[in-house]
Amino acid sequence: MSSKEMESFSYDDDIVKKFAIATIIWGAVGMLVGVIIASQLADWRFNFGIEWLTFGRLRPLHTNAIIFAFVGNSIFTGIYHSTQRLLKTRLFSDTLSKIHFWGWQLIIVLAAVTLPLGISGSKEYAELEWPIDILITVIWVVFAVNFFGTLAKRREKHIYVSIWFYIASIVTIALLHIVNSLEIPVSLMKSYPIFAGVQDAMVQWWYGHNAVAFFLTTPVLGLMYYYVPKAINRPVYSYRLSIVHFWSLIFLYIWAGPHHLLYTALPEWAQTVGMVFSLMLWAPSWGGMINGLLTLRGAWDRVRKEAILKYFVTAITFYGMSTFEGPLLSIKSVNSLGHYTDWIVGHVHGGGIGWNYMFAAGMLYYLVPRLWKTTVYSEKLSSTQFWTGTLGLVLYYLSMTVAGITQGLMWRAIDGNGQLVYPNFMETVDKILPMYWIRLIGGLLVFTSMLIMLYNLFKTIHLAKKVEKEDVFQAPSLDWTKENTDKGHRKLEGLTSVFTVLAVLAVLVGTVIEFIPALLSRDFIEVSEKIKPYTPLELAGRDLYVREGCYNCHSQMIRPMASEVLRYGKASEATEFIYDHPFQWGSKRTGPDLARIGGKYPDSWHYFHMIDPRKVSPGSIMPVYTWLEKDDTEYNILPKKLRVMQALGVPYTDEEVRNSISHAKAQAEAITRGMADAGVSMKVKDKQLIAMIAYLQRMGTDLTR
Amino acid sequence: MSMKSDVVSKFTEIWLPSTALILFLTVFFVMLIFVWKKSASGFYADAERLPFDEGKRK
Ligand code: HEC
Repeated sequence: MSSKEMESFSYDDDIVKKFAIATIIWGAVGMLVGVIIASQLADWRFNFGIEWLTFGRLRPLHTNAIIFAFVGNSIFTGIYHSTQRLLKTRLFSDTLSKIHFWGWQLIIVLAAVTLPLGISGSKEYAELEWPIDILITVIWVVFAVNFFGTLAKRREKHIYVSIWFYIASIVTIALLHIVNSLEIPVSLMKSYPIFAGVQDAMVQWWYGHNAVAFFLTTPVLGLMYYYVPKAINRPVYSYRLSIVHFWSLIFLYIWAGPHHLLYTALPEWAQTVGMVFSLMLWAPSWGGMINGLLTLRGAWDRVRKEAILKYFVTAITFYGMSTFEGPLLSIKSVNSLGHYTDWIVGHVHGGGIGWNYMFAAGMLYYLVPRLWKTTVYSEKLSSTQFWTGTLGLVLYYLSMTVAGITQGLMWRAIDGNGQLVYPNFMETVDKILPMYWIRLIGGLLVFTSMLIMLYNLFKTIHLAKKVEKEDVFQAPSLDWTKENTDKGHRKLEGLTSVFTVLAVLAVLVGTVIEFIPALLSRDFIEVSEKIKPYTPLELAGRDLYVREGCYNCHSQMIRPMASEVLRYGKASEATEFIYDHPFQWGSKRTGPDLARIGGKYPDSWHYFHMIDPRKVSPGSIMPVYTWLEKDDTEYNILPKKLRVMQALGVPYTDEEVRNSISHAKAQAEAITRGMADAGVSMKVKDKQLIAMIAYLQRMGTDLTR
Repeated sequence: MSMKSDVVSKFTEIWLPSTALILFLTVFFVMLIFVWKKSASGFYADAERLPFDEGKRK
C-alpha cells in the first residue's frame, strides 16, 4: 500500500433512503393486493364483478409486487448500503443509482397497470409483457454496471462473504430473466414465447425456482451475513462455514428446478435429478441457518429485548423451516400429495412472510434510524408489529397447510370399488372454505403489521432533523500495482473477476445439465399425427385464457396416477403440448384440472358457467366472466398471430394464415348456432365468450378422439 | 405405448447427472480442505471483522 495515503470520501445514503422508502410503500401495496385476492377465494363476490380485480389478473400482480417491488427494493436498499461500507467507497455512479431507482419504480408502476388489464405472458412470476421485459433487462444492466463499478474502485481488497452472494445473485438473475423472456412480439402488448409445451415448462420452472433462489434467498443471505453481525455487534459465527454455505448453495440451487414438474410429462430421470439435488440442498441451507443463529449465541437476552433481533431470529428460523419443507415437498411421494394444493401456498408464505418480510423489517428498523440519524419513533410499536405479524404468519401457514393436505387427501381418496370417494370437485372446495377465511384473517394481520411499520418508520423519518451534509470518511487507497501475494480462497477474494467467473461457472454447470434435457426433449417427443395446431378461433380463445389468468386456478396437466385418471381422464402426454406457446400447465388447482375438459360438457354449459358459475355449479368460488359476453373477439389480429406461430414452427399453411379471419368467424357462428336450443342468441356469435368455448372444447381432445 | 414412456426410454443419459454429482462432490471436498487449512486462520479472523470497519469518520 503506497505509504498509507489516506483518501476522503462519503457514502451515497440518499439512494439507500429512497430504496428504503420504496420498500415500505410497495410492501404495503403488495400485501394489500394479497389480502384482496385472499378474500376472493373466501367469497367470490369480493372482485365486485370488475374485470381488473378478478383473481386471475390480481394474483400475478400480488406475486410480482411482493417479489420484485417489495423484496426487490429491500435488497437494493441493503446491497447499496452494505456494499459501500464493506468496500469503503462511494457507489460507482450517482447517476446510475438514480436511473436504477426510478427505472425500477417505473417497471413496478407498469406492472401495476398492465397486469390488471390482462396484459400478461402467463409465465408465473414473469408475466410482464415484452416491452417491460426489455426495460427490466436494461435496468438490471444499469444495476450491474453500478455494482461492479463500485467493486472496481474499492478501498478494501478482500470482498466479504455478503458481496459474493450479491455477485452470484446479480449475474444469475440476468441469465434467468433473459432466457425465460425469449419471446416474439405479435403486437405492442402481446407476444408468444419461443419455447412450447414441455420445453417451455422446463425453462419456466428453471426460472421460477431460481427466481426464488437468487432473488428471494441468496441476496438476502448476503444481507444476513452483514446485518446480523452489525445488529449484535459481533462477527458471524463461522466465516469458514459461510464460504461452504455460499459455494454449495449456488452450485446446488440451480439443479432443483424440475421438482416443480414431478409427475408431469417430463423425463423420469430429469425429475429424479431435480429431487436428489433438492434433497442435497438441505445441507447448505441448514449450515447457513445454523451460522446465522449461532452468531447470536450468548446474546439471547438481547433478542428478548430488541425488536430488530427478534425479526432476524424469526427470519432465520423460517429460512431454516422453508428450506427444510422445500426439499421435503420435492420427494416424489410427498409431492404427489402436495402438488397443486394450498400446501404449496402455505410453503411459499412461510418463506415470503417468515423469511423475506421478517428480514426486511429487521433490516429497516436497523437502517432507518441510522440513515436519518435519529432513534426509532416507537419501540413499542415495532414490538406490536412483530407479534401481529407473527400471529398472522402462523394463522396463514397453518390454515394453508391444513387446507392443502386435506385437498390432497380428498382428491386421491379411492374406495374399495376403485371409485373416487369425492367425485364432485366442489366437495373438496367446500371442505376447505373455512381455512380460506382463517387465511384471510392471517393475511389481514400481516398486512396490519406492515401498516404499523409504515406508520412507525414514517414517523421516525418525519421527526428526524434534516441533515444536509454527508459525513466524510477516510481510508487508505488500494495500491493495485502491488502483486497479489495471498494464497487460497483469500487470494480468490482479491480477484473479483476470477471470483465472478467461478461463481458463474458454478451456476452454469447446473443450468447446462438442466438445459440438455430441455433442449433435447423436443427431439425425443414423437409428434403424434393426431395432434393438430389450434384453429384460429381456438387460438383467440386460448389467448383469452392467458389474459384472464385462468392458470392461476386451473392446471392443464393430468398426472399418471389412478386418482387423477379417474377424475380427469387419460394422463397427459408430452406430445399434446407441442404447439402450446406458452404452456398452461398451471401450478395450483383451486378449480379442477382442465386438460381434458373438451367435450365433457355441451357448449351451452360453458356459456352459462362462464357468465355465472354458480348457475350450473352450485357453491362454486370461480369468478364471473360477464365481460366475455360483451366484448368482441379480435379477429383482425389473427393472421398476425398465426404468422408468429408459423415462425415458431407451428405448421400452419400460408393459406390457413390468409383465411384465418373467415375461418374463425365461421367456427364462431357454428358454435353459436349449436347453442340456439339452449336459448343462446345468434347476436353473441362474435363475442369473446364464443372463442373461449371453442378453446375449452378443443382442449385435450386430439389424443382421445 | 404412451408417449411418455417413449420419451423416458430414449433418455438413457445417466452419465449426465452422474458426472454432475461427481463434479459437485469433488469440488465440495476440495473446498472443505481448502477452507479448513490451518494456515488460513489469521485471514478468517480479519475477514469476519470487515463489517466493522467503515473507514475513519472525519
Ligand atoms: C378463483 C379461481 C378460479 C379462476 C380464476 C377460474 N376458475 Fe374455473 N373453476 C374454479 C372452481 C372452484 C371450479 C369448480 C366449480 C365450478 O364448476 O364452477 C371451476 C370450474 C371450471 C370449469 C369446469 C370444470 C369441470 O371439469 O367441471 C371450467 C371449464 C372452468 N372453471 C373454466 C375457467 C376458465 C376458462 C377460467 C378463466 C377465464 C377460469 N375457470 C377461472 C375456479 C376458478
